[in-house]
Amino acid sequence: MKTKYLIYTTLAVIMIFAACKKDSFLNRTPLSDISPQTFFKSETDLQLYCNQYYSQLPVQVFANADDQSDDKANNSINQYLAGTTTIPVTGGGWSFTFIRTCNYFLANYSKANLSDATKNIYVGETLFFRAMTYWNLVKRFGDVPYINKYIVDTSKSALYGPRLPHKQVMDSVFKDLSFAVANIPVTTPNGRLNKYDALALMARVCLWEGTYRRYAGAGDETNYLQAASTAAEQIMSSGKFSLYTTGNPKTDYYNLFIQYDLRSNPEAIMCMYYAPTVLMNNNDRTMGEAGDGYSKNFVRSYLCTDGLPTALSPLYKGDDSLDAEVTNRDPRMAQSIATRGFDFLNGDLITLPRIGTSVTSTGYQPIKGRSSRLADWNANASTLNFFIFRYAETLLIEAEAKAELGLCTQSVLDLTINKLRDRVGMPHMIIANLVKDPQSNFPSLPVLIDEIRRERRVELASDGFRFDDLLRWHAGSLINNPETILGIKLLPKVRAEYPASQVGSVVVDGNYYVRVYPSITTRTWNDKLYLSPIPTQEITLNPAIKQNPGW
Amino acid sequence: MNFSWLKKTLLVMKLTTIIMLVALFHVSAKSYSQKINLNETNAPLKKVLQKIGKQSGYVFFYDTKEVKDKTVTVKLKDASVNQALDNCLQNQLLIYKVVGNTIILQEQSPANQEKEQLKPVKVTGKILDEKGEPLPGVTIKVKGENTVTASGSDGSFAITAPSNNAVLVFSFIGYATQEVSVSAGQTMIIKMQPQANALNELVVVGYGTQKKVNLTGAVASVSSKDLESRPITNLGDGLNGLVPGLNVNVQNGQPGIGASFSIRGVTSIGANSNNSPLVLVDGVARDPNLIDPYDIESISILKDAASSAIYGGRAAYGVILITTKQGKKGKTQFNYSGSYTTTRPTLLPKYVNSEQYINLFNQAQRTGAASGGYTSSSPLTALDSIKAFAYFADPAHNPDAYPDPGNPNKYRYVGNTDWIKVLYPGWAPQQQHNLSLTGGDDKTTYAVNFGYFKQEGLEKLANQIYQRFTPSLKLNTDVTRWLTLNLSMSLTNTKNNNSASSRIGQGGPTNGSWIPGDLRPLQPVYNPDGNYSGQGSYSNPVAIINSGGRDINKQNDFWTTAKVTIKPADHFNIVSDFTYNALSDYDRANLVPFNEYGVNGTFLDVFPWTNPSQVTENRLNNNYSAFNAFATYENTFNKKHYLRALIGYNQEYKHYQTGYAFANNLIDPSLASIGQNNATKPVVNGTETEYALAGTFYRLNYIYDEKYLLEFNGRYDGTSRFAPGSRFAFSPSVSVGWNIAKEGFMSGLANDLNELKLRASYGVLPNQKTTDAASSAFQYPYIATMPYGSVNYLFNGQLGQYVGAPGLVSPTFTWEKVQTKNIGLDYSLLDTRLSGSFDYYITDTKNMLIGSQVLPAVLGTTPPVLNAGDLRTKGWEISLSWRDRLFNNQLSYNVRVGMANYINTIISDPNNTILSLSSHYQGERLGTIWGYTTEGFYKTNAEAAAVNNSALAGYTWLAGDVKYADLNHDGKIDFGNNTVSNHGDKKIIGNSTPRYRFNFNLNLDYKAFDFTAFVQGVLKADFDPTGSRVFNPFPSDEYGIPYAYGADSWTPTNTNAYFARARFAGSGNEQTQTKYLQDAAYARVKQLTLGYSFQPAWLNKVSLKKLRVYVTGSNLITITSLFKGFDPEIIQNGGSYQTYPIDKAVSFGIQATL
Repeated sequence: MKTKYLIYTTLAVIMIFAACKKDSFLNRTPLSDISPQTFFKSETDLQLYCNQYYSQLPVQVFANADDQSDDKANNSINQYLAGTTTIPVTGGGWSFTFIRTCNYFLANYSKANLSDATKNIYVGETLFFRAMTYWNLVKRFGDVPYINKYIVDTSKSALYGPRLPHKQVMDSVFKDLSFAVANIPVTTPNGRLNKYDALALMARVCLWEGTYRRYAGAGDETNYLQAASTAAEQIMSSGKFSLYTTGNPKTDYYNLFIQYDLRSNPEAIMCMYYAPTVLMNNNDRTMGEAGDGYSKNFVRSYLCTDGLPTALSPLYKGDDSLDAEVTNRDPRMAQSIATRGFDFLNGDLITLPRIGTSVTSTGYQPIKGRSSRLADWNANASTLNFFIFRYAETLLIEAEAKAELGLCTQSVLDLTINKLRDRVGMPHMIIANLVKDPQSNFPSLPVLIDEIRRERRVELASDGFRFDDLLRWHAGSLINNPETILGIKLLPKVRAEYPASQVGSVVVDGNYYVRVYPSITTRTWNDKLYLSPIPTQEITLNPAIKQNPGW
Repeated sequence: MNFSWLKKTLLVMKLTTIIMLVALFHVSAKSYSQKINLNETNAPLKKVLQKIGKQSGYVFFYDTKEVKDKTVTVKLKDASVNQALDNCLQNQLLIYKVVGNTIILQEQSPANQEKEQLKPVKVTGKILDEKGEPLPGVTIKVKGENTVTASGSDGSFAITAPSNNAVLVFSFIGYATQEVSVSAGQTMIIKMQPQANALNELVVVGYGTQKKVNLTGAVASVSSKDLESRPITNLGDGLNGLVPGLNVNVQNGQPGIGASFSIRGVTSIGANSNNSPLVLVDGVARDPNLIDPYDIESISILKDAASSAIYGGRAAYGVILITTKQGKKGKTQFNYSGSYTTTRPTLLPKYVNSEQYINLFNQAQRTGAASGGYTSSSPLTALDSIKAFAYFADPAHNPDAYPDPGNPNKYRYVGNTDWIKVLYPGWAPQQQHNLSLTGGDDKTTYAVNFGYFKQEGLEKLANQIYQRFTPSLKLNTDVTRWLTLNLSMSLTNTKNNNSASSRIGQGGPTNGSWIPGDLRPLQPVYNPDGNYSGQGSYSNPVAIINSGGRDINKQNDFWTTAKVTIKPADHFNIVSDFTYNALSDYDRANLVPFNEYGVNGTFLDVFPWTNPSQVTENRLNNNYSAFNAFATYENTFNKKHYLRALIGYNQEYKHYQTGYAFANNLIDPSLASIGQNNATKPVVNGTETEYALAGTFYRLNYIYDEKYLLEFNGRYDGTSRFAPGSRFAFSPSVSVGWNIAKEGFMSGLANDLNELKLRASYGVLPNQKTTDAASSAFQYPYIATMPYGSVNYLFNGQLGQYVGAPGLVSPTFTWEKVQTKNIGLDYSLLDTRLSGSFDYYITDTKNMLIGSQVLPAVLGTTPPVLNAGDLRTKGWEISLSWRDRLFNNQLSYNVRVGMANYINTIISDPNNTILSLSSHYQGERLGTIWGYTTEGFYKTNAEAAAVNNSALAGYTWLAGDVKYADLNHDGKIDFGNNTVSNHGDKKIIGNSTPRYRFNFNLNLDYKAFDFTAFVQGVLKADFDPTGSRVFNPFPSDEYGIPYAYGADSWTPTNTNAYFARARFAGSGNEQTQTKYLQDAAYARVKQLTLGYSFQPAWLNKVSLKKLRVYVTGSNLITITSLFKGFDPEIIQNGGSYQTYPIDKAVSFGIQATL
C-alpha cells in the first residue's frame, strides 16, 4: 500500500508540474537594455535620442579633402573622377538608415509629457538632420524615394515607391529646415545645435539648390537664392559672429585652423571640439603622410598682392621655383601650402617641397589645419578643433547668392568678400575695377560671379566644398584641364638640389611640371558623374527605380 | 493578466512536494526498526522468517526447497536481526548473509564449511579459444587480489591462489571475461568464448540506458578506450573523425581554443540560429571544451529526432551525451596517466623575401600607374631598391637600414627579415597529467580525478602559456535498499597568459594573422644602433610583444550535481537531480607605452598604439541551474511483452552578467592595476540577461518477444526566448525496429547472423537555440531593445551618450522546427566478426528564422527575421567493423571504416523573391560556388582593351590580367543583376560542402604491443580561395605583405606565371573563378600510436596492476592536392591561410595503475 501511495504521489507531482504553464518562470524581459515602451518620457530621453545625430555633423576635416575635384591631385588617383567606379550591387551610399532614425523619433516623441515648445526643439534637431541627409542623397543620386514615415510593416508598398523628383525632395528639405530654424533656440546648452547652426545649413543648402537649379536649367531658383541670402543675413545681423583676426595678416589665416578650442572663436558658428584623452583625432599625422597636394590649377587662382590674377599682374614672379611662385601672392597661399621655412614637424623645416615622398604628391603640400607640434602628430592624440559651420562661408554664400540674384552691390562685397580680404591684407574687390582673368576657369561667366567663385575657392581651400560646387555650377568638365593633375615646376636645376634617389621616379611634362599620374596627361569628365549609380539590387527589387543616366 | 490562479497552483505544487517527501521519510523511519520480537514453538521456518522480515524491513532470499519442512522454536524480545537469525538458524545447516537490505540464506555446504581454512594453493591449467586452439596472452587474475599472470604460448598457466575458495578472472581482448572458481589439484581447462558482441552492451540514451540491440533511433557510441590510448588536448580533438555523421570543427590550433560540433550537417540558415548539438555531461548541458577528456567514460551521439526528441527545443540538431567515470566497487585503484607532447603547425606561412617584395611592389605600382588603378602614395625609392638588393645579395657587408635623405632622423629599411622565423622559431611543448582514485564498498563508491594540462604557444617570444586544472569528485551511496544518493562536483580552471599585442590589432595569432599585416621583410628586427626597429609607421611585433603588456584570461567553471534515486517498488525508479553551475571569466589586458628611436638613438616618439598606458578588464559571471525529475516503470509480462514508460520534468535557468572596465593613463604604466589611474574618462560597461526553459517529457518502449520494437518519445517545451503567445512547442517522435535475426525463419542462420535489425524513425523538434551570449538580442530575440552607446561629439566636454532606434522584429516570431525521417540497418555476422550499420535520413528544417529578407534599402534597417524558409538535408552514414585474430591468436586486429555524406538544399526562401545570389535562394544547394570561367591571361594590352570588364574593375585592363569567358556572349564580362535568372557570365563552378567524409581505424594487439592508426578525410570538396592573400599579393591596398607564392606573378618575361599581374586592389583578378578553385579533398593520418604494456610477471615485482607506455604522432601525414598554402581541415571549418593552423605533434606517454 505504501509503495502504491508513493508511486501515485510521485506521478501526481510530475503531472502537476507538467500541467502548469509556467509563465511566471518563463517570462523574462531585458534586464540591462532599454525597451521602447518605457522610453521617450522626459526631456532627457528626447535629448539622449537626438544625441546620436551629432555624429553626422558635416565636420570640415582637412585631410584628403577635395581630392575628388580639380583642387588636388593625390598620389593615389581619385577613382570616381578617373571613371573607374563600378556599379555596386548594394550600398554605394544608397542608405536610408539615418532617415529611419529620424522618422522613428518623429513617430514617438509625442509620448513625452512636455510642452510643445520643448518638444519642438528636438523635432527641430531631428528635421535639421533629416534635411541634411536628404540633401546629401539628392546631391549624390538626384531624384530619391522620399520616406517621411516610420515603416513598421515591411510588406507595405511604401518600400516600393518611385523616386521623387529632385525639386520636390528639396522643397521638403526646405520645409524641414524652416521648422528647425523656427524652433531651435538662439542659445542652447552644452554645444547643442542653435538657431544659427540651422541658419548656416539653410544658407548652404539653399545656395546649393538655387545655383544647381540655375545651372542645370531646372528653373525656380530665385526663391532658393533669396532664402540663402536671407539666412546668411540673419547670421550676419545677429552680431554674434565675426572673422577671427589678431591683426597679423601673415599668420591669422593659418592659425585659425590650428586652434585647440574654437568654442569661443567668433568665426565658429559651430565647431567640432576635441578634448585630451576624451576625444581626439588623427588628422595632423594623416595630413603629413597622405601623399596629397594642391593642383597647379588651384595654385594659379591665388591673386597677386595687387589684387590681380597672375596672368595680369606685374608682381607675379613666375613659377620656376616655389619660392618665386609664392612671392607677392595672396598671403593665404603661404598659409595654405608648405613653403620654405614651414616647420614640418618639431623643428624639421621645409626647404624644398617634399615630392617623391609620402608628404606630398604635387609639391604644393597642404598645411591648412596642420600644426608642427609633435603631440599633434602622435596617433589619435591631436585635439586640433575643426569647423562645422564657419562664418567665412556665410559671407561667401551671401556674396554669391546676391550676385546670382543680380543684387550684389559694392556694399554687399564690403560686408562679405572684403572682410575676408581685410584679414589677410589683400586689397578690396571693387566691382568697378574688376578685370576678367584671361586664364579664368569660367570664361563665359560675368566677371563678378567669376571672382566671387575664385574667392570662395581660395578661402575654402581643403574645406571640402569643391566637388559640391562643381556639381551645382554644372562645371564637372573643369577636371579635364590638364593643370588639375599637375604639380610644381621641377626644372633640372631644382631637381639637382634633391637627392637623386628621392626624385628619381618623379615624372615631369614638357614644361617641367610634375605629372602626378605618368600614365595620363588629362582626365575626361563624363556627364554621368553628375549623379552616382544606384545599386543594381535596388533596381531589381523595385522596378519603379530606374538607373541614373549613363550608368 | 491575472496570475493569481497560477500562484495558487504553484503553492499546491509546493505543498504536495513537501507532503510527499515527509511521507517518504516516514516510511523509511519505520522500515528500519531493529527490534525483533518472536515467540514461536515448532513454527515453520518460512513463517518465522516472514515475521522477521516484516518487523525488520529486510527482504529474504532463499531457495524454497532449503526452507521447506524446517521448523523452529524461538523466544526473543527486542532482539537485533542478527540475534534473531542466529537463533533461528542454528542447527539448521543454513547460513545467512546480509547484502544491502537483502538477507540471503544458503545451505551450509562442505565447501562453505571449509571457508575458514585459508591455505594458498597452486593452480595450473590451459586456456583454449572457441575452436579449441591454445590461447596465449590471456590475463589471469585472482579476484580481489593483486596476483596476476598470463598464459604462455601453448595456452598454459600457473598461478598461486590464496585459498581453495578463490576465484580466477580470465580476460583477453575480444573475448568475454570469465570468472572460474579454483579447482585445486586438477588442471583447469578454460575455454574462452568470443565476446558476445556488443549487442547486450548498454548505451546511454536520454534519461536512461538502452540495450544496443533494442535501439530504434540513430545512436552512435564511443567508449573511453577510443579516447584514452593517446594524448588529446580536448574532447573535439579526441572525437574528430571518430563517428560518421559527427562533424568536429577544430577552429585552429591556438592554445585554449575549443572545437565546435555539428551532427549530420543538418543546419539552419536562420539568423543567429545555433545549429550545434546539445551537449550533456552526466545529464547537464555543458561546454564540451571545458571537460577533461580523461574523465569521460562513454559518449553517445543521438542523431535523429526520435532519439533526441526527449530533449525538445535544444536538441533539434542532435545530442551528445557524455558520461563521466564513476566510482567502482572493489579495492582502491590509483591511476596515473601523463604525456609530453611537442607540436609544430601543420604548415607555416611563407612570405616574400625583400627582393621578391620590392619586385612585386614595383610591378603593382607600375600597373596601377599604367591603368588608372590604385597606386601607392609612398612608393619605394630607387635608392631603397639598390640598397635592399645589395643587402639581399650580401648581408654581411651591407647595411639593412640607412638614414632617410628626406628626414635624417629616420631610417629607411632595406633588410631581409623572415618574420615567421623570428616569431615562430621552433616546436612548442605540451604536457598533461591525470591522477585518479576510484574505489568503494558494496554501498558507497567514489571517484576522484585531478587533471592538469599545459600548452605553450608557438609564438615563442610572446611566451603564451595556457593551463587547465580539472579536479572532480563523485560520491555514490546506497543509503537504503530503495534510496541512492549521488553527489558530483567538478571544477575547470583555466589560465591563458598571452602578450597583449593582439589587443591592438598589431598581429599575433589571436586575431587571425601571423604577423602584423604591414610588416615588410625590409624591416630588420633592430636598428643598426641596437634599438628596436619601427618608427611609427611600421610596427615591430618583437618590440610590442616584449614591451607592450600582457593579456591574461582566467576562467573558473564549477559544477555540482546532487541526485536522488528512489526505488519505491519493484520495476519503479524515480530520479530527481539538481545542478548548479557558476562560470566566471576574467580577462585583463594592459598596454605599456615604450619609446621608438630613430637614427643613432634619436628619440622619435612614444610608440603610438600602446600609448597611453591602459588596462581593460572583461568579466563574465554566469549562473545556471537545472532541475530534473523523472519516473520510470519497467517490466516484462508473460516473458514476451517488455514495457518501459518514463515521464519527467525538466527546468533550466541561466543568468548572465558581463562587465567591462577601461582606464588609461596609469600612475605606474607597468603596473597592470586598473584602480591606479589618472584617466579623465574611464569606461564602464555591463550587461545582464537570463533565460528559462521548462519542459515535460515522456518515453514509452514496447518490445514484443525481442523482435518487434516500438518507441514513442516526446516533449512539451516552453522557453523564455519567444513571446508568451508563441513560446510553447511540442516535439513528438516515434520509432520502430524489427530484429529479423530473432525470427524463427532465420534460425538456420543463427550461427552466422548474430544481428539483423531494421529501424525507422520520425520526429519533429523545435529549435530555440540562439547564440549563447549575454546579449539581449540573443536572449530576448522577440523584443527589440533600443541600442545605446556614446557618440563622437562632445557635449560640454564629455562624450555624448545616446539611445538609438530599435530594430524591427516580426510579430509572428517563433520556433523553427526540424523534422527528421531516418531508416537504418544494424547487422552483425560471422560470430560478430563483421558488424556495422547504415542509416539514411531526410531532415527538413522548417520555418527557419531567416534574416536574409531582401528588401529595398529605403527600409533603413536590417529586415526583420521571419519564420520563413525551408531547408532539406539528405544524407547517409555507413560504418563497418571487422575483427579477428591471426597467427595462432597472438595478433588480434580490428578495422573500422566509416563514411558519411549529405547535401543541403533550400526548399523555399520566400524572403528572396528576386532569387538574388547575394543571399540564399530557393533551390540553392548550400555551399554552391558561383564564379567566372578563366581563359588564362590577356596576352596583349589590345586584347584586354577589346573586352568590356568595367563591371568587375574600372581600371584599364592590361596584358597579364585574368581573361574571363564571356559565357552569355553579350560582349562584356559581368554578373548581370546577380540573380539566378540573370547571372551574367558567372556559373556554378563548385561546391564547398565537404562530401564523403570518411574515417579509417586500425587497431592491432600483438603480445604486449598495441598499435593504432587513424585516418580521416574528405573525398570531395571545393574551396574558393578568393579573398585569401595567397592569391592576391596586395588585395585592398599597398600595405599587404604578399605570400611567397605570389612571387610567381605574371610579368612580360614570365607570361606562364600562376598568378595574374600584380596590382594594388586588383579586384578584377580577384574574382571567384575556375582557375584558382581548389580541390579540397584530403586524407590525413590523424594518429599513429604504438604502445607497450608491461607483462604481469614484471608488474608483480613492482606492485603495479598496469603499466603502459606509448608514443603517438598526430597529423604527421596529409595527402591533398590543395594549394600548399592551405590546411585542408582549417579551410573546411571556415579558416583561411592566415588562421593559426592545427598542430602536428609527437607525444610520449605513460599510463599506470596501482
